[in-house]
Amino acid sequence: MLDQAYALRGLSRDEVLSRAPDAVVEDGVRYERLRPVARVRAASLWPGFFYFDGDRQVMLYAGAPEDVDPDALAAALGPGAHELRSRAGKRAVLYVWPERGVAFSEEDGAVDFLEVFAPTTLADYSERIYEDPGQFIR
Amino acid sequence: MTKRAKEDELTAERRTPEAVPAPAGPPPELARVLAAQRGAGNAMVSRALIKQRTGVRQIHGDWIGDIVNKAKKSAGMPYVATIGSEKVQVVSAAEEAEAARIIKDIQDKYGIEVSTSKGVQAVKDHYDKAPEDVRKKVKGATWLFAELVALERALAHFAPILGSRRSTSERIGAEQEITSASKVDQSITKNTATGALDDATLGEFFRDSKNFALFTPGETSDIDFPGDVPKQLEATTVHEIAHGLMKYAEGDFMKETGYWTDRATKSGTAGAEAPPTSYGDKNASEDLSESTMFFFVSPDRLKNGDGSAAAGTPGNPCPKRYAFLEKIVGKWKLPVGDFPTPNKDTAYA
Ligand SMILES: [Zn+2]
Repeated sequence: MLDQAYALRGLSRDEVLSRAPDAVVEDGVRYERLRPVARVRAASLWPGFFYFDGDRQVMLYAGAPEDVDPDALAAALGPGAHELRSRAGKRAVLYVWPERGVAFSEEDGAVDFLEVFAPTTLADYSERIYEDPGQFIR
Repeated sequence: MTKRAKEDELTAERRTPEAVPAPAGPPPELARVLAAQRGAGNAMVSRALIKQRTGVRQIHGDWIGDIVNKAKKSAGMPYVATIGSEKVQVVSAAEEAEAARIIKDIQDKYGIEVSTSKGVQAVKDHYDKAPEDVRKKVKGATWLFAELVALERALAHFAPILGSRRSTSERIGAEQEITSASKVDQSITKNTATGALDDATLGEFFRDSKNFALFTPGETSDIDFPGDVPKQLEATTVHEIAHGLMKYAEGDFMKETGYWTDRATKSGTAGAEAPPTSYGDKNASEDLSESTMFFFVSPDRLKNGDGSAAAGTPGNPCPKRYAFLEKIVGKWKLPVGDFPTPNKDTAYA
């Protein structure tokens, strides 16, 4: 799935729409701190969403991707993951490889969601994309 | 006396225990705990109670504790009763009998075992990546009588899909998602190598264990209902139960409210009704649990909002969520007269 994501990461909005006649576009939405953005579902290309700021892709997202082993994903990404609080739940952990442009949330051996974005720094990811869900207390 | 007034009185009694009479005198550990309990009522004291908890267990688990509790019981003071495998703080023999009745009824009517050891094991199992020395410190705790009352009230809202009645409900085809309830001292902050004992978590659901636990910090919390701890206990318990019993409705909930694209991601769609609280803004599961909590415990709060949040922001009025839950609960299909109607905000007793 990671290879598929890397191949799609650089596509512009026009490129996605031209490749995916099934694409459905919603303008003026958000993805965490990224807003306003356009959300594009193009199931023939990717089992999740593309998010665009204008023509520029700012996030490739997949919610609860099937048959993705978090350990295999982590092994493929290598060392250097940062751990952040995940919005998926108290026991979930968001692992971020900002320099690789990948983050995923894991809980109980399953991937809650996968994010693929342009490589950046942890500070930039934290300020521009990530939204801290706050403490889980119940 | 109304049930509510009785609970308040009992709670007040619990919080103002007298000193253990001479000549026995309380052991130093007990004295410190009793002193802390006199001032119970805020988070700081709650944390202090947690820190004393090990001492409490040691006292309860040995002969000195037994003697002290017998002395307190015969002196008409609050004491810790042993009911089956559970420890329950009560103020009288009558209250002890009522606690025993609640525990038995919850098992018989709802198919839910009140078992603190199962909650302790659930925490350990679900925080398998936390340090071993932290996991070893997860311990059971003494139930407050008010917590058992809240547990019974909370479960009653879901009665049509619990125990033997589940087999005549819409949920007949699915196994009951919760089979035990526990009182545990503390959870763990996170499931990583830096996990530590948790001073803040009020309750937690453990799907794989079919268990939910209430934790010591919840004893004094009134986070949603300021000044009304018994109502908060019921609300927190409903929230945890909803994580299990309402999970099946999560997909339809997301579709009908339009606020989520999936369990973990907000749609950002303009005009979508937001969750009833900021806490429910974390993910769709928390949203559904918060919504269910207010639906049963404070329906007007769900319908009308917190009075200050703008439409589309957490805390806004949630008529869509109310209608959704009314529909879902209505499908549980019960005989007339046995329907789990929401509480009236003004008629809690
Ligand atoms: Zn929750």
